[in-house]
Amino acid sequence: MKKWIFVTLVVLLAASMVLAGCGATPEPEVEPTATQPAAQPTEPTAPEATEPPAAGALKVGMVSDVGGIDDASFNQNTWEGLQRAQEELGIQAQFIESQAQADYEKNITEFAEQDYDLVFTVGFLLNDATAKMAPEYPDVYFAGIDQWYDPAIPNAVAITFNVDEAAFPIGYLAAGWAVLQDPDDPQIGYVAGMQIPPVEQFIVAYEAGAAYYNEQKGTDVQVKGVYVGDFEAPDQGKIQGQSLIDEGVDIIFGVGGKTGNGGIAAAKENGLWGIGVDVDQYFTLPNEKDILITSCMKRLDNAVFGVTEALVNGEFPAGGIYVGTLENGGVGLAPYHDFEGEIPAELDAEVQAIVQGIIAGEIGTGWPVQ
Amino acid sequence: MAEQEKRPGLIRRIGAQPLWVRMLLFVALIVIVAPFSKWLILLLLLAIGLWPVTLLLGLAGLAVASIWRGGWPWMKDWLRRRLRGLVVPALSVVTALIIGGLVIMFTDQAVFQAMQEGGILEGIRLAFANLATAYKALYEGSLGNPRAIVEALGQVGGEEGLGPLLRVVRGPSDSLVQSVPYIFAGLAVALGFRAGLFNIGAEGQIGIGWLVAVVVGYSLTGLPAVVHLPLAILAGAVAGGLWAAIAGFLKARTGAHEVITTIMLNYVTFRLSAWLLCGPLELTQGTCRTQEIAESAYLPWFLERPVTIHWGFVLALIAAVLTGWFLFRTTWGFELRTVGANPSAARYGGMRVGKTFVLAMFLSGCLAGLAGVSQGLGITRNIALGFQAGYGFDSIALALLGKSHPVGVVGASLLFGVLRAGAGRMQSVAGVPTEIVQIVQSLVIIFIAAPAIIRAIYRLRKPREEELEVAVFSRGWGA
Repeated sequence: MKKWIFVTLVVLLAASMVLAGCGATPEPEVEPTATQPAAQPTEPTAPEATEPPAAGALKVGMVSDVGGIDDASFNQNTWEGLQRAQEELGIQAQFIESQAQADYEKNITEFAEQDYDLVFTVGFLLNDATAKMAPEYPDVYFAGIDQWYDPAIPNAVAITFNVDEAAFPIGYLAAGWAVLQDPDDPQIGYVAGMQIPPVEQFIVAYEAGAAYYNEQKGTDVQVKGVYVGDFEAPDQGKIQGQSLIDEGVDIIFGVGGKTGNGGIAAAKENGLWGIGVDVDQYFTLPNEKDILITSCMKRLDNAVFGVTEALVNGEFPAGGIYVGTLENGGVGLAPYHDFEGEIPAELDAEVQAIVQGIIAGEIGTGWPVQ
Repeated sequence: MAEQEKRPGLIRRIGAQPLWVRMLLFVALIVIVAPFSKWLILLLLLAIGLWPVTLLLGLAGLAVASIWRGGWPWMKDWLRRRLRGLVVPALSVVTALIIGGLVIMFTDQAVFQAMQEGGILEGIRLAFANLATAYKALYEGSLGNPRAIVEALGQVGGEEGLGPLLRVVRGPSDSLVQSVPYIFAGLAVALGFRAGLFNIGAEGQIGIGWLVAVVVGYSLTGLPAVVHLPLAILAGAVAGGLWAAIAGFLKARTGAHEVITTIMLNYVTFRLSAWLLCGPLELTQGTCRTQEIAESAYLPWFLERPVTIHWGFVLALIAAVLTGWFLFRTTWGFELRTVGANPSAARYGGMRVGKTFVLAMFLSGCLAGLAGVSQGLGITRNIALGFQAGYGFDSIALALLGKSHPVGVVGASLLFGVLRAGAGRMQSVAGVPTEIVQIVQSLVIIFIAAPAIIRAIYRLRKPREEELEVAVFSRGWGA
């Protein structure tokens, strides 16, 4: 028995060392050798073999923030946009997950040094690193999500979203739902991640939407919520969600990666309701999907796809900005799904009217805070 | 290599001098070497990138030296003495890489798909191909591509200057840069272990050191770098030290266990820094980061982008030497180790145990603070929300790996630095998640903590009794 383990290990050791260690191994299936498909395997030692295929597929990289690629919202949604671009536009996409602030520049360098054509840096936290690295690599295009460059950088585009435009009607909808379900003590809540502007943008408009409801209907729907200070703490989110529920909150808006998801899970356990964020979380939270009345969508995938498509078509808006709005579909409300018949038609009509009002510029969302 | 003979004599003669002479000599050495530091570092990076050549050169040098010392038997003995302690760690790393490789091979959906479509052999072939890509990327991301380095060496002196050479030594440089905070934090925990203290608060002390160094770095302007930089470094170190000394003081005075207090202090740091960064210290509304430090507080880089190695690396090595000197060559270090081995005996021997606890926590905190300083002044040049990188928690493993000895900690840190530096490239080239690196790191720790596993797998002989070094780790909860 022992011998077998030993022999297997030695064989694997030898095999992996031979394959991994020696740089001269030809790699036929690693990268699609678009330039010289037949010649490459036979001449692996040609000096040019170290150069990646230049023509053909555009290479697009994505550097995530510390939330990780599988956060079921923010980073994941960006990656989905890139995957769609990979399928439909024939680009070649890869990502690196950052582990800390000190890694941002290193990871951006990694893509830039590999001669990538476009690098997405995902999240407000990478703003600094992107602004610092973009001028170092003028031949590489950069696109920063939730970022803002002042002054503008000639080879970078800042991608922002007016999420307040979607969060405002959602606040209204949540308030209406709370009044419907708990007429005696209607309260709505939120469990948020870090207290940074892109998160506050949701919350401020959400509160404003509820206040608008109170103003219109003469009700007194309270908004209660917490910033947990972390995007990766579903346990903390759940605890904070539970304490909000103990205070009488009827519906929880989870804003902030895995932390927000924890808040929604608390609502589920108490037989209450939740609202998703960033993506249509009906599809990303299978356990809680039956309590989600809607999601406040920030269509990063559309934005990423759009920017990548622009690059492929040679129309990259370098030095400019891309703003996702209700009007261009960059932000929006997800369908009600299981609550399709339960949300009263008149509430839905009011929400749609608000959406139109915001698009027309008639209703203010309360963001930015004056 | 002829100096090999004279060197021990020289070292002993220097060692006999009074402390201030040795310090002066050390400073003089730094001053003499500093102008050449750029080239020395480049040479070091090349030596790491072309390590097989370095190894051969080293062996050749040893062979030459052994001619004077007694030929092959002397050389064999020398090698055996030096390498014996490295057998288990080296095999641990190899085994961990193999298991990590298996994880890479058999967690890939494409492999199973290929197995279904093209049969088992096809699947295994694809699995090995994936593994080769992944580990090749890990290697090149952390140690560089030797062939590219040789090619770039050929282009030196061309119109692009050092450019091509810098691009190919980015891997080794990243490894060293990544290992800097590990060395500092690992030393911090190791020093605590020696005093019988389990400092879990390194993560928090790093944050405090980082924060204070950055604040000193930007709030004072107009100072020359000679004053400003040491001031910022010192401020960060002392802040980390004082923060940790709180736990030491509580233990000395009230007996509160340092594990509890340091963990709690971590939370205080996280919340405090979040408040400061999005509040009073914020650059402009809504950025959640401080402003950039003044240029006079930069920990200078040796070379230029993309080679980001900075003076923090040298500081880390100096810190390791000083920690070793303090622990094993000074009275305070002796007291510290005695208290760690047996506080009751130390108290009976007339040592002030409480004072030692406070001192040990202070020094431990200083080292941890320096980890934050090196990041803040050397890499990020500011501090932003979400700066925590887990160095403080990894450093516990590093201290264990290094058996709480400075040399061991530096070695373990370099290993972790290499793995972490290569992880990004592995993910970007092969799509293998960076978590694989954490798996490998954890496995290395398991194997080194339980060497019996490695001895059983590779049928190594048991070490003789006298070779077993019993290291003192933290004392249990009852202490």
